Amino acid sequence: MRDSFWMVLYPFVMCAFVWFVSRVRAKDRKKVCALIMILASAVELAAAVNLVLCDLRGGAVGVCELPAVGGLGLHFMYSGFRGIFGVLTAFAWFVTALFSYEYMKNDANVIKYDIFNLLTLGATMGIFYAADLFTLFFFFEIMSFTSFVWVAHRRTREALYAAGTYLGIAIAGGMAILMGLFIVHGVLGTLSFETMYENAVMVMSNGSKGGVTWLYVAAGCMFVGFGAKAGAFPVHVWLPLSYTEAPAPAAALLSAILSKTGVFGILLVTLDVLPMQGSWGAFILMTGIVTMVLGGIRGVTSGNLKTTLAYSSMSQIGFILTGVGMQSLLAEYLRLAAGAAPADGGTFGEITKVFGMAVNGTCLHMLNHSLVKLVLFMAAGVIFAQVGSYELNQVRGFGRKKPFLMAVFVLAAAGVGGIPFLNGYVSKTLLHESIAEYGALLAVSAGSPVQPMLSATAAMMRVVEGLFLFSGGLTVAYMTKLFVVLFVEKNTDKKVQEAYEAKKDYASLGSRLAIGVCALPIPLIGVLPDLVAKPVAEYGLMRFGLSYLLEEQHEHIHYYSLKNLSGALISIAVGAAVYFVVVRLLMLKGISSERKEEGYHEIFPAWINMEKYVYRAVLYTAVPFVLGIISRILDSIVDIAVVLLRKTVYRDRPLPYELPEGNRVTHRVGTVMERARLLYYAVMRKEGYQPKNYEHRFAMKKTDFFENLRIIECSLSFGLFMFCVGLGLTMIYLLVVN
Amino acid sequence: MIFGLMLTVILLPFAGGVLLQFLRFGENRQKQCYIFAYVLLNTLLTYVLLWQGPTELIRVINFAGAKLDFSLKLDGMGIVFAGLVATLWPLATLYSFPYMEHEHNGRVHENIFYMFYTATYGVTLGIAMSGNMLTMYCFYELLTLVTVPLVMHTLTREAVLASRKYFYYSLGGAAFAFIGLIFLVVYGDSLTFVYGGVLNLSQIGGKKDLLLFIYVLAFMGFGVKAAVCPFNSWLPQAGVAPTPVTALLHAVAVVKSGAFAIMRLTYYGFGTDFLRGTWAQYLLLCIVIFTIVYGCSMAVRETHIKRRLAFSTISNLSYILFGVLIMTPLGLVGALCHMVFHGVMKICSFFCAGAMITQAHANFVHEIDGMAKRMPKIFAVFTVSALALMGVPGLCGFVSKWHLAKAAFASGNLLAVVGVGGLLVSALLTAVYMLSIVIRAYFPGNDFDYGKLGDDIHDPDWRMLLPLFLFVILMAVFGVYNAPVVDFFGSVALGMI
Repeated sequence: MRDSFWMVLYPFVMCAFVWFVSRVRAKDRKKVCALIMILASAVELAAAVNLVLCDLRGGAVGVCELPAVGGLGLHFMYSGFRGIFGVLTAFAWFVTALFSYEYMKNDANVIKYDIFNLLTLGATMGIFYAADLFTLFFFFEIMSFTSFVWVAHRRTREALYAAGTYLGIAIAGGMAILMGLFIVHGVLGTLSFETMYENAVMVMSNGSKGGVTWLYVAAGCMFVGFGAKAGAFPVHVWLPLSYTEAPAPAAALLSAILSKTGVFGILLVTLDVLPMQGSWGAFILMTGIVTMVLGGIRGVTSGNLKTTLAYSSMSQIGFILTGVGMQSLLAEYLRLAAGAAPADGGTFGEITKVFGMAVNGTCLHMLNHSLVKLVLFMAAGVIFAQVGSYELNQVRGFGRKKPFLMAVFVLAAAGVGGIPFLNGYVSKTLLHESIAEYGALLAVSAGSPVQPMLSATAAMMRVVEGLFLFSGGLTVAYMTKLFVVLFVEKNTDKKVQEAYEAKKDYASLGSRLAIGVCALPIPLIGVLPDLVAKPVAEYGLMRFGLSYLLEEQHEHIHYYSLKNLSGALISIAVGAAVYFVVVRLLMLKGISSERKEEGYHEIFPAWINMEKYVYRAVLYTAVPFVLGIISRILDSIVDIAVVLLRKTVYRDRPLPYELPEGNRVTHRVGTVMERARLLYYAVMRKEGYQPKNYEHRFAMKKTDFFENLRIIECSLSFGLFMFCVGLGLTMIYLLVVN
Repeated sequence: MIFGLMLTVILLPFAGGVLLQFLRFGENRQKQCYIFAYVLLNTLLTYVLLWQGPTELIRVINFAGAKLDFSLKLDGMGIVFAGLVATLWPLATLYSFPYMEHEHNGRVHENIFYMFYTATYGVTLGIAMSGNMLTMYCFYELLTLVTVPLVMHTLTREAVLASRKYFYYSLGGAAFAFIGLIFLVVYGDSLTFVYGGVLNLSQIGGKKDLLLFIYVLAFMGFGVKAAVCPFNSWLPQAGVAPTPVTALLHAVAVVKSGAFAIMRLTYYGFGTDFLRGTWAQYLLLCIVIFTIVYGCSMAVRETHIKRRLAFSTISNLSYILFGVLIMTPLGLVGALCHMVFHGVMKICSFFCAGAMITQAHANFVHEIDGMAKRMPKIFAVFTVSALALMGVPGLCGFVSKWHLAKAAFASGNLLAVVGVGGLLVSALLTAVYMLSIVIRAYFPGNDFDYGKLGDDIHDPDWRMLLPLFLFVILMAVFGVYNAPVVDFFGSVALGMI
């Protein structure tokens, strides 16, 4: 069966088709392309659903190999989790295509958008159906490049800036993943997910320290890359900019699907590269919590509708990462508990239950967040299409007397806020319970031999739980902020408010349909968790070492028990408090009375900008400066050597070769004496120095001397004298020899 | 027969070039046909030769002493290099015709230019087909001599300075290489290339460190042509030469000759068994890894497009040397892969840069804002080559990077693993310096006035586009399906061919 492969290939084929159509038809081609895109994604959705149905019926689905393509060959596979996210991806593309038919119709570059949209769809499908790390990486890179065009779509200065940041982080992340890939391939000898897990377990049980260390390095590298796409702290810097600048349907996809590819990668690393390693889980948990809290704070303090949604995405990704971290921590506990005390069946069963909560909660929250963000970003797009701005002060009061918009917005906002009977409540409850009960388990079993080997403590879990609930409160706060701004308050400008309220045809039927379809499952999941959420989560169970435990696990969870409701209530209370203090008091009224304009003000200090003051500063200022100095030196090192040689060994003769008078000796001696005399005058502080021209004098002397010599040589007496010397020498020679 | 063919392909381009000086052509087109004909003929003859496969050693002249032969031989590595050169040369020649028509004083010295341009072809083939160190050394020196006039072609002050620098650097480097040659004569069994090296270990005795030192000297000597830091500054300066020269010689033929000579020196001269794990390997690895990062960072700083690409070449050449220095057969596979693939990628990006110069007189990065609208084909090709250079999977750059990294990890050498980190940093910087050009061309911003560009800017004619499209096809094919090529490199690297 090559089903999963055709799912990946099909969008690429359609993309070529769109390109072809855009070339051929001159009239109405934008419309035709948009329709093709809707059709293509509908077909893709049908195929994805079909794949799931085939699997449910027990038909063999999807392993496919394309040997030697791209060097290592591309491999595709199918599993429940992949199936669910394949359907979700196709679904998201379908609804956004439906939505962008109206939203993008006046856009000049819409065909380019369509083409890159389909490319990204194919790449994303490739990521979700990948059976090995190489295939995953292959499509991950394609996705990074094609989605770049989304962010740069509007071509404004801000959009290009955001796109630059996006691309920079994406490429850096891609390289980090590649490094991780190399290491994994080196240590485990394979990149296929199936065998990677087994080999990793083998490496760990062998106790080879070096191997495990390298695996941690690899996982760290890959976390940078996948985390960048997901929007995890500290590589989230591109996220608020890009989400804000991308057109609304693209932002919806970025938030709903593309961020999930990053989470998917992190999940795979956690399950297959470092299975059951608690310290890795603790690391992910920490990152998740920082992301969650930071995103929440920025979300509350932002004065822009879309930026708030962007930070909300970041915060929700933090929740999901927390779940991933909990999975890993609990898996470690299970591994150790299974090894240490097999007799203690009760605790073991308890841990398994908590573990199941973490696993299901993570999967469900990924799903819920996708649905919610599709609704919210598309709703924001509807507003932007009418208002032309995302600023809270501009869009204020737009939603009044628009029941449809209000209904979907409230569903989605309350859904992600974790209000009971909506979808977010279910997943957040699962995650919260997994944290709380894990903490309780740790507290109860204090003193057991397993305890010291664990990477988490009960105190740590309490802090995590507190922050989790606090972040839930932040979610409620910023969603309340948006709701109040859009649907409760009136615009400060009365005329604008009247125009807003008079506007009834703010969205076409297609757009309404697109948003409505996404909003529909939100209450469904929340009201009937056992009928909808649980089967989905169980079907989406990732294959990994302890998954067999969960397949046997059929514990019923009472979502609406008082204990579980209390968590949500705490969050809502915190949210209300934060809303009144931060939004009503600080943002709306202003800290000081100096502010004249009414309305919302950004209160987050602008100088805390990691992107601008850390990454860009390092990349554009610090690195070029340091490397520049090194480069300058190295660049001229040979030249310096040449110059040095010329100044020392290969120096030109300091004297002119032909002197006008005298020879080198007289010149040198004369110069030295002249200098010595000058020095003498200087040292003794004597006035009236007159050059005595020693060089000239010596030259004259030399000429005299040699002339005299020549005269002597020419004379007879000199001849006789030399004759005598000769005779004398001959005599001495004879005497000595004989 | 084989010997005659070998001599023919070495001498034919030179003879054709000399004959060009005496022929009188009515039209420029006729002259171009003539030049292209003999270059193509030479390529076909070379292909015949390569098809015949590896040959025995053929001794041509014996100098004083048993070891000093002038001999020719075609082995696996020679086949790879000769194949690369023979494939690229006719395409580059085709490209050079429209380019030289645009060159300022191109017409004046055009015949001389083409004489040296084609003569270089023969000399490079000579390097590929040398049977021993001495022969290769002779061709190597000859290569310097025939390429200096090409750099000097425009006769501007800059060009003269650049060619002087190139000349001094090359000859100086060759002198160091000569030292290595002498030591191989003394301490080796013969100078003939034998896979695994020719050193006579019993003769070396306690002089191992001395020989390692000599290896480092010879490496750096040949490394001058391969632009190893700190001997790289001639390469960006030589960018003043006409683009066909920069693209073919200073991205492929000349610089790859340096890398090729180093491969010969390492695998067929000193031998990897002797060198692996010694301080010489570590020292050179450090230098090469530094060069990888250094070349890229300089490319990021540089705003002149051709010089930027030249810095990129510096970095990429060190990828090849990095593969060589891993000193395992796998490393050599990576090095050979990158030698071939980088040749294609870099000549392609240089040709695009040349097209930007001839069509739009754009020399600097800031001058190409919005050009993609006027020259869509050139920029599409340039984008592909940029992605390939970055190592995006699916294009050939990734394949060589993959094999280099695989070799580095398999070697178990920690420094090699650090080198992989260097490769990735360099890939990141490559993305910065290549994509900044692409992005400028495609996304000049909303407020950009396309009217400023001038209406006469358009894609060049087919003689420039044909080679470019072929290169794109090659990059994609190598990127997607490369098993036969890589297998061939594998058997070369194991010394089986």
